[in-house]
Amino acid sequence: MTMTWILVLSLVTADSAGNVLLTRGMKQVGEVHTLEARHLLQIARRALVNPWLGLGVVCMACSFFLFLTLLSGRDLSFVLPATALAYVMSVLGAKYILKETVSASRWIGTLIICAGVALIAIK
Amino acid sequence: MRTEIKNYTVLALVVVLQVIGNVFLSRGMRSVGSIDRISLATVYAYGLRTAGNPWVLLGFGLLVAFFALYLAALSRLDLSYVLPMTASTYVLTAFSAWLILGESVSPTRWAGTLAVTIGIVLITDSELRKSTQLNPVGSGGPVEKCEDAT
Repeated sequence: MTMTWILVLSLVTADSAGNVLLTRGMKQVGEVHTLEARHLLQIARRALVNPWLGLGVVCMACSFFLFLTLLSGRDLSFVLPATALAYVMSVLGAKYILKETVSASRWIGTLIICAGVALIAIK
Repeated sequence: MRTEIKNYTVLALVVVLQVIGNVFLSRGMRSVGSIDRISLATVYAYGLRTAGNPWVLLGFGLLVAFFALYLAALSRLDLSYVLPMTASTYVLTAFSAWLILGESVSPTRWAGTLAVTIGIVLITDSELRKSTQLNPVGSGGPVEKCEDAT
């Protein structure tokens, strides 16, 4: 059980970091507005050399392997909602790393997610 | 209007691909089983067994498609439109796990899943409000960012 939560927390950390890095990377790479091959190729070339995107993909890959490991021993209906702790992580990140002001409803949402994950953990 | 329909279609596809992809992965990993002892040899053998499982490969393929669409959606739409759609995946996944995988989802677990979804909706809604306050132009739907700028 302890191992499960260590895996969940590692997954959530990698996932949150991955999302921040990917968003930052894609904003630099630019919009995908057509499905034209040449345009897509250009975007792909820019995406491949973007360091933020690269790091983001590494984080996402780590979280994916942790997800697989969790799925090998636990139910999907437990593992997936447990990963919602990533939202809690991003609120804490916004508050303590980015020093943003976090609105009351965001705190309430975060608490409700924590309560939900606690319920899932019961059985 | 047409771009709005297109954007919502992409978002719906993002959700479906993710839910079904996860169901396949779960089915695959269940037959692969847990790793019993951690050493270089066992982890290597385990990795090979995982990568050779057809359900895992199928699920992985669907999630790659999900990921490509998700990236496109992120670059095209504000995160505040992408995230509420992803909230629905929790309930849909619990439902699919029960229906397709035959997992017994207890009332407590349903309540927990619902709470997680409500929490996510609350968080993303408050973020959406914040971003429309900062930028009131184009707050009616999933508007493309280039339109916001003009």
